[in-house]
Amino acid sequence: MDLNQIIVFELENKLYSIEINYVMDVYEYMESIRVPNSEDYIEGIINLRGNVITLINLKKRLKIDRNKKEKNVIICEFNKEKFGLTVDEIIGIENIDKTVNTDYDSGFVKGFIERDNREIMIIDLGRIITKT
Amino acid sequence: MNTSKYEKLFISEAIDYIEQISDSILELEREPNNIESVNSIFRGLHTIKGMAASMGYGDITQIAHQLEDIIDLVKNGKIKLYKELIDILLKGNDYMEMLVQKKPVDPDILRSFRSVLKSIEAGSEKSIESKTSELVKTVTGNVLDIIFEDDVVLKAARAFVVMKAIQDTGYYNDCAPSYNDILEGKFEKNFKVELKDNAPIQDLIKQIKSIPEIKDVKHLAEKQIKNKIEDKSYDIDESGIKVKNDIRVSLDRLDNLQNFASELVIARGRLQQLAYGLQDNELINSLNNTSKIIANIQDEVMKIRMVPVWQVFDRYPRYIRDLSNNLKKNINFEIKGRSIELDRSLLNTLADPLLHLLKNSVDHGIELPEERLSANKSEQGTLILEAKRLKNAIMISVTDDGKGIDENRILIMAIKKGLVTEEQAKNMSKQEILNFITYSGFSTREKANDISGRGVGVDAVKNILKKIGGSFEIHSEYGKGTTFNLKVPLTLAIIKSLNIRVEKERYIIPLTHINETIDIPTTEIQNIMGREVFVLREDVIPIIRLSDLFNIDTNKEKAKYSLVIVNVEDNDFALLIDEFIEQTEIVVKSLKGILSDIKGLAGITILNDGMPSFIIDVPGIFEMAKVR
Repeated sequence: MDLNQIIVFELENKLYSIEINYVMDVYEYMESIRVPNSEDYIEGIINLRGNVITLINLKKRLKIDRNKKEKNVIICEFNKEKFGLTVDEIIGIENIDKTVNTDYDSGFVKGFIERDNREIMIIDLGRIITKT
Repeated sequence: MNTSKYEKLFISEAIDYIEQISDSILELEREPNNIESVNSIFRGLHTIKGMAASMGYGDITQIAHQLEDIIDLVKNGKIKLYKELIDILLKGNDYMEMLVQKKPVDPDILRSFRSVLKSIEAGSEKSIESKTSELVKTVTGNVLDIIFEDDVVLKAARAFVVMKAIQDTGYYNDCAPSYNDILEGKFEKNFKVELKDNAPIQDLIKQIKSIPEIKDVKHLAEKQIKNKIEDKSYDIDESGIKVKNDIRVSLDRLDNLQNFASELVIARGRLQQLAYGLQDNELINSLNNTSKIIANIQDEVMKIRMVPVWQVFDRYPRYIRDLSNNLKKNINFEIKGRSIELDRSLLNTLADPLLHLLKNSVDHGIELPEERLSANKSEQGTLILEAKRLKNAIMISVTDDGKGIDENRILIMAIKKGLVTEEQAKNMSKQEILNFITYSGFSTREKANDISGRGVGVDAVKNILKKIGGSFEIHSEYGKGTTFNLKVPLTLAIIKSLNIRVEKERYIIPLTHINETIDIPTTEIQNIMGREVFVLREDVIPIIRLSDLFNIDTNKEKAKYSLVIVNVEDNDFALLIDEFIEQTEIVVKSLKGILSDIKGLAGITILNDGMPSFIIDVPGIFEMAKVR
């Protein structure tokens, strides 16, 4: 079966998600070391078991106005690059059909699905970590 | 025999020998009477021949063999060296290298090359046949010197017995004087027999000594020669068997070892902090002992990785020679400081950038002989590649006495490309102008050529140096010559550095760039034409506030500051920070992906307390400050 799982989280009351095969770990929000002269969406760097990992503030990256404080960090690996995304709160995991709507193309979102009458955007990680 | 698993080893060893041969050929060209170079070429060829034969590589074996024959003729004075012969030797060496590396070589070329070698051999033999008897034949390798009694009666007969005895064992290779001469007794008191490498020397000596009228048999092996040349890489034990004292280890393994050693150093730092926090003396003592051992391990690992720069430098003379021949330039290429040691992977990283700079000097720097003469210079240009040891770094420089760089032309280009306005250009220092060469895509040559490419070179060199925590400078005087200076850290993985603080942020400055550090009261900071400076031993040194460059929030002016005096491109400047925390050894991690190319940062490390920290790119900071 062509099934896939996504990890669903909230950004300012809207639902977003990442395909779970890119997700390595989930943490509580943590303080990080600021990166001088970097893009504003780069939150900082942390030491995760000997690996230096860059945290990306997903709301800043997606240009979403920031009112809520982030509670979680999702550690992802994409193209052998490890990085963390700060998100408001993790909601849970959903099963999706791999083919559903993933040809949708708009900026950082590569598709969306609907669950319980709520729309869940699927984030395009490749775009997130590519400098623009 | 299944040779595939030996193939890698064969290739890497053969390449070493081929390089050695190439160097020796060039040495021989410079000093045609240097018998040591001849011997070195001979030994190299001999070894390659043997190795290739055991691997079943017929082509390599044949070429090595024929080159060996020619060198043998040179050695025996049967042919004189001339330029074309040197070329042929070099070409032969090239073919061997191509074959070893499995690069395609046109079989027709090989065939005709071999016939050239044959004709040289034949030609020389004809010309000297008449005086053969006067020439002394020599043998090398595993040699027995058979010495007869002073009053030997049956010289020829005894000689025959000796020769027969040796031949019967099947270990006979060659002899001197010639076989016939020996059997006819045409030798003084002794003759020499070359044996195969695996001959049971002691048994043979015993056997020959038992023959009447033989005074002594000496084993000449390659003992004396080998020991001198390869110093300690071989021991000869009593039976005359070579015992290798070194082994080959893949760089990957060495890198792993280095990484673990580095991790160990970091782990030690963390443990130490914990131990001191606990104030447990027993723990601290035993930790101190462990620390010493760790320091020793780290030291040894570091030493393993250190190799003399000639391992890379010696590749260049050949290249420079060919290139200058092609370009019809007359260049004396000198290498200085060959024995200075550098981390192996660091040295390998520098191989291409250095080659590029050398090419640059040959191609664009040094003029044609006639141009030089009309500019009142010596006909022959000089190109120097030099390694020097500095306090915490190594300086490698490429210097030529060629035409130098025309700043005006650079400036015009820079204005044309919109890098500076004409207004700004008026106040630029020479150093700043020369720096434009290191900008990506900047080249004053309108046309690219296959030698120096399209102006991607110098900026690539600069980037590589930034990556390894070094710096790159250009000095040039129009009409007189150019020098490229590459300052590189001693090692790549662990660097000594200063841990500093500005407000709540900590950064790392590699010691490579630091001249000195100094604490000053804020009152000593002066303002000259809107720029902050301070006076150090009568020199006015500009101050750069790290908090400005890194946008660090500062609350209010403090009563005192610390200054790190660094030197970039011959300019001293002072980096203003809050305080020095400590001097540490750090393991450098490079900036990758989304963090790459951030201004002012050269890398990341993890500090003893587990917090990551950025390593400051000192030359980069200097450039940022200039722009402001």
